[in-house]
Amino acid sequence: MSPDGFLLGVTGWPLARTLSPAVHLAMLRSAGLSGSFHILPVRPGLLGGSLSELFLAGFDGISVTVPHKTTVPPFCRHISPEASAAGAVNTLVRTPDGWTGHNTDPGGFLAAVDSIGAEPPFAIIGCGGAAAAVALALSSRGLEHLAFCRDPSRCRLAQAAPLESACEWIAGSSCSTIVNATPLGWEDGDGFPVREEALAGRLFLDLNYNPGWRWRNALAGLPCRVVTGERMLVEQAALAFSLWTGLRPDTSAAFRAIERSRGR
Amino acid sequence: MTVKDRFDTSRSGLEAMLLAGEEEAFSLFAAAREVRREHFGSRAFIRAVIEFSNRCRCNCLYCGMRKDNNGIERFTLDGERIVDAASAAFRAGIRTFFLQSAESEDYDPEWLAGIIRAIHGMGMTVLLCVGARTEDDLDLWREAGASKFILKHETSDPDLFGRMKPGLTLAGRIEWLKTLKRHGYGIGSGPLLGLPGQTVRSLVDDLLLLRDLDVDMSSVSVFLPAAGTPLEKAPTGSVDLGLRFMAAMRILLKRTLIPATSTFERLRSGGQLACFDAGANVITVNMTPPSVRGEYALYTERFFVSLEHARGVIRRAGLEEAAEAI
Repeated sequence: MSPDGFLLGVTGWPLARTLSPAVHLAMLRSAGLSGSFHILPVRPGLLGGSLSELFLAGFDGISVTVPHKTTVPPFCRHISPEASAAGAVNTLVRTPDGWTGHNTDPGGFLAAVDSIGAEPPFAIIGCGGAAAAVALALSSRGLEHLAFCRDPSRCRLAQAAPLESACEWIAGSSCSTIVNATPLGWEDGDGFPVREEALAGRLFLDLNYNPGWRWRNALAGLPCRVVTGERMLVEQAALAFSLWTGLRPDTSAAFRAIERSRGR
Repeated sequence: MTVKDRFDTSRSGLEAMLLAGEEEAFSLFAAAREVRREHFGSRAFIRAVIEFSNRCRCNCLYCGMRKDNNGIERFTLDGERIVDAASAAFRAGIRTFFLQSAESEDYDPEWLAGIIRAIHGMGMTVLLCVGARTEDDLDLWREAGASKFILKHETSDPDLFGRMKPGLTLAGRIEWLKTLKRHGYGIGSGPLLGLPGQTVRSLVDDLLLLRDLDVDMSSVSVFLPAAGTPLEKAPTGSVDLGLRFMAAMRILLKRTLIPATSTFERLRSGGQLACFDAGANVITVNMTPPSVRGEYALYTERFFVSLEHARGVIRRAGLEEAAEAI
């Protein structure tokens, strides 16, 4: 750690809407630590050189987000078992001889599940890195789940079914929680491949935290519970913060900081 | 069938080249010279190098200029001195000028661009070996007239690379080499032979990596321990293995510029001539001012190549001095 405190940042592309600085600065302040948190956009194809630069510049830790989570492992000196199992890294921790890659997404997801009381079975919509982290987390607890995606034959998840069958499975099973692990929702006008009626009486756990997503906001008129992506964001960030500082942060300070950053 | 056809460039063939016995090595070197003749005739090239800064943000275990070595005086030359040295090289008939530094943060990219402009303006090919930081710098220096860039990969063993170069990764290095190419540079790379923990298998990987990167320049240096580093007591690398590596590079890569590096001369009198006999075709004259040369501590008690020595080596190798194509 430098005399100015922890030097931290988030890398991804394009990072236009990241809430990470607000979240991590709030955690630093509430823990009584000094430091700074930087937005470090890196175009795909230039990650390795950039990570070397950040190491040489003295960074203590880096959050990694889309699209770099799965491309970052070759640029790590060490990989944690969780990151290795997920095949993706979302947190880099400085060690004397290079970056160690961790993945706090599965742990963050489980912390979110526990804090909101989400129950199985889970329907995971999506088959990318976020869906893989969710499936990994649920498997680690033995919680029943099934993923749905457009082309299950090309999906890397062990249990995946065609997207068209999602509504039927949700309606026919005792499915309690539907997880949005797709990029849908980052644009305000995005739709969603599950009919609203299928969500009635269930929990819609969204990993996306765009407050302007109209489809999700319209669920307010239905008898279903909605939890947005800030919960997962803060929980995985809290685990990353612990890896960097050795301290458990105050997550409520982070939620308040998100509200403030949105001018509410 | 000529002598070069006796050597195949499969993985096992390359390994056999590196492990060649003395008699076999004789044919290996002859084959390398034959390949060189096919592609370059009897032409050999002289470059001039100036090492303009030894300040370094890296902490490579083998390098005397590593950040944590407090046993050397740090310097960055002023621009006028660098351009003067280039001008002297030009007057001596040298047409390629090599600007080399440690991974220094002690200068502004614009400052270096100005120097490149001045040297390129004399009619010289400008070659850089300064580490790499941003794509903007690469564009700036390319537009200023630099056309070639050397970034040694040191070893193709990712684990050994990580141990030797804290905070850096082989994957990142390879990415940078590809980035350099994308920005219009002719690229050069190569290993440091004799690093503790290196294997012949990984040296074969070094050769294949150089081929896959489609390098324009390839080189091999023999590891020599530098004072004040964690490896200061490690054994030196093998000159004989280095010469076999050089010949294998020539046979595999064919049309690349391969320098006879000074470590060979430092470890064995006549070592650079032996490099030419093993397929090298470049020798680099050191123009770093004598007052600071000792601080550019790549290794301890360096051998500094003079113009007379360089011309003597080329003559004794039976070759003729020519200018590198720009």
